[in-house]
Amino acid sequence: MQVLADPTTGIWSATLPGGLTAWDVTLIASEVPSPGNTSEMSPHYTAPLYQVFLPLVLRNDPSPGRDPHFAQPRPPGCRRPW
Amino acid sequence: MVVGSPTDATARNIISGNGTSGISLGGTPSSGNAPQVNGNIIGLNASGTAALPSLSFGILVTHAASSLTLGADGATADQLISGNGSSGIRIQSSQQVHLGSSNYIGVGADHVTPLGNSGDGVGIGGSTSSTVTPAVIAHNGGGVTVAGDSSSGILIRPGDVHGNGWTAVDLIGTSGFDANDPGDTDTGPNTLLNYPEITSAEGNNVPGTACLGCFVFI
Repeated sequence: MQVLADPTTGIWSATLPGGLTAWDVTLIASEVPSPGNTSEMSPHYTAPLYQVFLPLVLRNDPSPGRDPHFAQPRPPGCRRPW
Repeated sequence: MVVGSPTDATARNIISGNGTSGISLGGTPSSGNAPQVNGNIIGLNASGTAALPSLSFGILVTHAASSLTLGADGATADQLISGNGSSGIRIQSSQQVHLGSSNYIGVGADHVTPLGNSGDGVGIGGSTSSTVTPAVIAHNGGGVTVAGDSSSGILIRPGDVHGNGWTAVDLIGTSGFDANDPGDTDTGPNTLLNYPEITSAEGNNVPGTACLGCFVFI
């Protein structure tokens, strides 16, 4: 579902489908239709804290031959293979 | 140029097992000849049940066309981009790319079986005004990664993102999650737009704040 934030205050409100609460959803903002920038997904909200769940998975094994892209330069600020 | 078909699955190509990328779209096409890549199997066997990876990207876009469509919205022939040795799709073009809802990235022909790409499902560096709305991005090294300050106006709204080894959407200011900054004055890919915040929670009524006039997708 989608709702529109107030153009002056940014305040929005949503009524989630039955059975869902703030504990069940993540959010993403988008400047639609223009300029179209989209945010990262919000962290999970568990009052009064926001929590981020990052999976503990090591991606892109850097072993020679495993990932031919690994040796390419990373973008500025990127501390991981991408 | 059309690779595959948006409506005829029997016209699809099996583009797998290559030494570099499955498809590499580069150069500058003549006017009115924007490429389309629809309905193909990229990185899997012909039945879409097992990985047959190209060693690098499934699709690499360095194309200078102003309109490029990969897996068009509304296409009846699904496009599978899975199992490859790096990202499923890498866009390194400054132009507009539409990555539509007939793409299934990281899964098999049943749209469920995990056959992820080793890199991100979708990696973007430098594109403007592109749209990323595939049906599924799952079981890849990461979900959608956007890098570079020149990447802007990229609408990201996949149907289903789950089971990836990194965050669902990563705007690379810092790698991984970027906390909101007051006033949203920071810069980066997609301006590092602040995500929406929930201000209180009671039952199924959820109020919050977001960028002014933005849509909040839940």
